[in-house]
Amino acid sequence: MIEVCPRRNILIAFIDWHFHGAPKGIIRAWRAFLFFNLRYFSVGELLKTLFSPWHKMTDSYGRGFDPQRFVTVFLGNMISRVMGALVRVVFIVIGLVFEFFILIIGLAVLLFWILLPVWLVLGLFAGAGLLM
Amino acid sequence: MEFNLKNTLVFQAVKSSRNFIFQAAKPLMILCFILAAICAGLIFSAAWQDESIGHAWDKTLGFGVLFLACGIVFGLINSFFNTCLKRTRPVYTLADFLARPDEFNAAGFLNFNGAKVLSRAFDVAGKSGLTEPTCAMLLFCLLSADDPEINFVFQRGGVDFSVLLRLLKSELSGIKEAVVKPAGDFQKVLLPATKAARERGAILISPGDLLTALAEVDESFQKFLTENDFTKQDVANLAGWLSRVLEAMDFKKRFWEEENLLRKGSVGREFASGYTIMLDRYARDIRKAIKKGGQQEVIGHRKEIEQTERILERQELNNVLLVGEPNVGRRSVVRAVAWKAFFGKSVGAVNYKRFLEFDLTALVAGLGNQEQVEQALEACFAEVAKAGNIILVVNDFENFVQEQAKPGAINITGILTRYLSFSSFQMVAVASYEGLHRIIEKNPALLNLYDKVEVAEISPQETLVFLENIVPFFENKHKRVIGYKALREIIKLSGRYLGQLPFPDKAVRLLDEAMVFLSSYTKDKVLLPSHVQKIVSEKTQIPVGEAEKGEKQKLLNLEELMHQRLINQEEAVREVASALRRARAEVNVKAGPIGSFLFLGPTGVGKTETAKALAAIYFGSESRIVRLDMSEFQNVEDVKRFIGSETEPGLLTTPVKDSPFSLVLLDELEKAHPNILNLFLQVLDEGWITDGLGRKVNFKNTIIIATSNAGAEMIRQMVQEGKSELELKKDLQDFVLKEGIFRPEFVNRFDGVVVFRPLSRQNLLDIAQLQLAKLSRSLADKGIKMEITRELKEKIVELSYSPQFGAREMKRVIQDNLEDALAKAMLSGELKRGGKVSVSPVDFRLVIS
Repeated sequence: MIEVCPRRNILIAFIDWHFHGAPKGIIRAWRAFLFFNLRYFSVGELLKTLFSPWHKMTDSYGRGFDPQRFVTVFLGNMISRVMGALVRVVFIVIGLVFEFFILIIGLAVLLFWILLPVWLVLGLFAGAGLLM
Repeated sequence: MEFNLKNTLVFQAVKSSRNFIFQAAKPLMILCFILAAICAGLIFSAAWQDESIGHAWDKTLGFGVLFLACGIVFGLINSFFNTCLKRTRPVYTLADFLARPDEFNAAGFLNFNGAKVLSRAFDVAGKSGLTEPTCAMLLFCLLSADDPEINFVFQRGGVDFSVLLRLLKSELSGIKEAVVKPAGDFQKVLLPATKAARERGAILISPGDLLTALAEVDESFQKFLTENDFTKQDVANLAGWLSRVLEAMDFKKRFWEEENLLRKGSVGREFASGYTIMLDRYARDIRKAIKKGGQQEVIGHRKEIEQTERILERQELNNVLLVGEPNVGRRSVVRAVAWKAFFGKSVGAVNYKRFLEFDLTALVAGLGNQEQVEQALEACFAEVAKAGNIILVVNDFENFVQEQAKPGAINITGILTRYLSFSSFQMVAVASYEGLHRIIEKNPALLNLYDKVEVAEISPQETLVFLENIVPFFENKHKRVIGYKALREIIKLSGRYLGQLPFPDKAVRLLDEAMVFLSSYTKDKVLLPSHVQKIVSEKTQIPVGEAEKGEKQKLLNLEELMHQRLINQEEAVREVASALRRARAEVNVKAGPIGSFLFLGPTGVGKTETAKALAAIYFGSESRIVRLDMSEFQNVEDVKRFIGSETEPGLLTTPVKDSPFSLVLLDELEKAHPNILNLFLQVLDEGWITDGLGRKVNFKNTIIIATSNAGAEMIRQMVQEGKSELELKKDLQDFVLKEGIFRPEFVNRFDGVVVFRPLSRQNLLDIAQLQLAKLSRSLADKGIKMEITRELKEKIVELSYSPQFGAREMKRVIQDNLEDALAKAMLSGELKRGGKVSVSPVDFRLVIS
């Protein structure tokens, strides 16, 4: 007979939940935030299109070859690309900075949770110590 | 099947829920946090007032720290109970259990509330001396559990279960005292409950699923539900409704979930896409509505959504032509794809694209002349092509591609065709079937640039879910509660009487109207079926409420009611009435019309009159007959006239579409072209047909009666030979099939083949009596009394009867000889109010006294 969710000792169930089930949930939420941040700042997309012209603002070289026009258009298009790259780099950096913060905060939350029993014991002792 | 509740984790949760520490964890947590906050407040306030922090403050700090730690401990306990113990997650699915029920402990698939109810049921069984609970015990525990799901089912359903609860209570006390105890049969609900849970997409069995299962297996509960106009399906629907609402609320609370976070959108994604300055003036970004959270759950249309995504993902020919009837949900399909794209859940090439609804009417109206309009269009389309991340949505597309544009519209075919061939230019054009056939198909070059996706009407069941989702909106708006039975009535009545519109639109409109009526014209707090019936009656001029109530009575007395208008033909009337009763009571579930009959018999014996009587009795009026003379459809070309085409409405399909609750009378069926008869194979079988414009026309609320004179001579002969009804029917059917008048598969699809016998002399005298009585009644209204004599009736029969035409001539004879003379006498003043008239049977001379 297969027991799909068998009865367990409540203490073991608590330990399992605290050190396994709940941290898994925290990690899932943490991962969602990390993923969301990258998506919010479109980091992958911006990296892929780093040197694309800014909002596709380019001029056509036209028919035939006119050196003056070629140079003008080339420079114009280049400016569009450089400008695009600059703005994108700024956004990528901001995105990565936030990503770093989320990484740190997530790690802190995870560590705090795992060590929560320790904090609680310390808190109870500290409180009792102050009362004595 | 094994059921051992005590071996499961969920039972442990149920047991723990009775434990003081778990019960008090939440209030204690709140109390501790408040006390900790007070301590912190005292310390901060002292520090603020610059008081020295001495020994006394150390104690306050000590208490504060202790309270905080205790609060966290209680919070942990509470959280452990709610997220771990109460929410068990089995590694096996309900499908696994259904596939191999004997291998699992079924108790492991119960959710917390389900286990709580069953645990109580076992306690009740134990007290009654049983090892396992009975279905009645389970039902008692479900009803008395004060479970939110059960309460929702009965409160929304408008069903008071207190009487049932009292009955169950007395039944249980009877079991307690009984010497011979009943068997604990609760296990028979487990598999149906599992199926119910699986059907609503749950992973565990809830009390609602147990209740649904009881509605299926427990006879006394079934009886209670039937008495309250409720079914098992209604219980399942309501349980599903609540579970969807709770799930959505729970999901919204979990802000850390990926989908909730992604609702914030993104920045920078459009840096690599072109500007759309001109387009933004005339287009609306669907994403804005999505960001606001306006996107509802998509009901139905899964196939259409997937098809649209597949086409948009292509490299070539990636434009979609969404075709469907207005308000069938074409825009919902576009919004669903846009919603998926916004969250990155669509296909690769569609994800994160902008869906812009292009308002061409505003563009045409806002600009002065054709040249300006064309320039603006060119600019907009160029922006779309250059931007590379836009999917343009054009509603009412047919209005903008017709050769002779209407006012406020323009023909954009020329400019559009150039852009549609670019893979970077993508469009979803929304059109109606009429527009497709009448306008778009006339330009194959344009049509070839699109791939067509047909949007079908959603089912009544899906419409119910749709209505359930918008109930909170209407309830908030009108501050009234919408009862479940009212929703059910809306689906039923809108499907039956509001044929011109598709689901869900007609149901939503009816709900809207009913809520306005409820809040503005009544003081009632709950929308009931009677309110809906009143609205439909006013809209359609059909006494719906009465008809519905009286329908059962009418069906039970159908023979008597029909014989008030019909003479003889007992067999035929009985057969029609029985078939109709069978169909309405759904003794044999079928998809076709309410009833379908083939009337065979000579002319003038009452075939058409039977149909008319049936329409008058069952549908409330003879005007609800869609009558077609099938001799007008003798050629294959007539199929177009029959089901309609882009140039003309269908003689069959359009009236049925407009008035779906009608009687379809097909006279002289044998004269129709075989291809037209073939069309009826599907109608009789499935209950629907596709009209000439590709629309589905529903015949499920119609009665179809076809009449035929085929074999009339044979009937006469057989009646003269004195053959029995059964022989007559069998021989006639053989004759009709043998002669190839109708094909066997066609005849077999009718609910009944009804043979009408030639009329005897006595029958004709009775008919004459009926006709004369009718005339007498109309004279009585004018204060004139008319005497009807046997001699007069015999004279009328003598003049009107012919073997070929039956009683058909009788009306004309009465009209020519009697009605004319009466009219002249009344006009000349010879016959006055208060007068009495008798008619001489010899020469129809009026004798006035």
